[in-house]
Amino acid sequence: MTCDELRRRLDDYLDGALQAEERTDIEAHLADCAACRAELDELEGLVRRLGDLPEAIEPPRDLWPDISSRLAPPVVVAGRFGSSARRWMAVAASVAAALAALLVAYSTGLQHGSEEAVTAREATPLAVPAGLEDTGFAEAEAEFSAARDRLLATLAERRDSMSPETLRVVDDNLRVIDEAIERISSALVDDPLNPRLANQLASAYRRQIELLQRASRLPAET
Amino acid sequence: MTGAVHLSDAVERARSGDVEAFETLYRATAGRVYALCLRMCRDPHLAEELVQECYVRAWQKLGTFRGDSLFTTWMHRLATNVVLGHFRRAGRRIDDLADAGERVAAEPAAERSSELALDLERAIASLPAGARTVLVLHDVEGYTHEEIARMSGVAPGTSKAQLSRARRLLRKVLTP
Repeated sequence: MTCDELRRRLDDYLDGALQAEERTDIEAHLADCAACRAELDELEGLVRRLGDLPEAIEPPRDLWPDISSRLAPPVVVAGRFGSSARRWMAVAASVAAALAALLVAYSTGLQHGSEEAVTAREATPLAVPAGLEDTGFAEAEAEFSAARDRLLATLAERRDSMSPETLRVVDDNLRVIDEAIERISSALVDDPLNPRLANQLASAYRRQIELLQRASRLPAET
Repeated sequence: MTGAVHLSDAVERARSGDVEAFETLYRATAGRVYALCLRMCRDPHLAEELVQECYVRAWQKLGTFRGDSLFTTWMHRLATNVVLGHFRRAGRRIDDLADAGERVAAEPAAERSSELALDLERAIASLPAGARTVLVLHDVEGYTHEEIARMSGVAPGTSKAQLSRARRLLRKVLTP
């Protein structure tokens, strides 16, 4: 084996990729050739240095904020609240967004709506599923409750101008929606990751606001 | 609690959608992933983008991690595929033995630093893309030629040829 032949195989020799016979030939040559031994030593030194390079290089800046902002909400599966707080927060955020949209609609409606009112009614405190206190949900729901109270107050002032039949229909519908909100909120406590329930809750809030707005604008009947 | 157990717990929680747990995984592995991306693409800004892509992809694919290997190994393999995928989309072929011929970028051939590792990093960065990719995957990351061939879609012989070339060029650059 010549020096050139050996050097062409040196990488494979170093990487243990040669058959036993070839290895024997190379080792025989190396035993007699100082130049090729030096070549091997140099190559070994390089490969060792490459292997010794730091395994990790810290990024020059914290990339986590950019990464986390790109993480789509995970596929939501049924489960208990607790270890999956983050997933529930995504659900709560969607409900909060729905409520926020409702509040905008409500504010617009107030500007164009009548000042008359309908019924006197105790505002029922809404059930906030446990664990939502730290999310946008609780804040949005507080605003929603305040908006609902204002509409109920307007309705109360109009009560005398409405027929008993209209009042009964409005009250029955409000009660049905309140019961639905309570039922859905309760179900969400047990199954906080259920997006269908979250949508139902937002939908119930929407129906209630729309009902109160419609009732507030009904023409006087008496 | 050992690091592996700690990560194993974080993996389980992240798989069920716990972003905080996923952040734990990111913090534990980002250095290795960034090192891989930087060494393979040599552009710090691109490396940052690739790291982000790696973790977004990992978040999406966590459900496929079966736990029969270490998370760090799985993450590293995923990162390698992300970088190789980027090269493919950019039209960079690691089987192009003629890319840049036997030339290396001028920058790393500069004066020797007392920090040998830094010298070596610069020398690696100076290599043509194909040679650099194979060198990093084989000699730094420890992949076999067969694995490199599978991941990058080239023949094992091509990977070997690129490695020999990379080592030869490196020695040339590092020789005073």
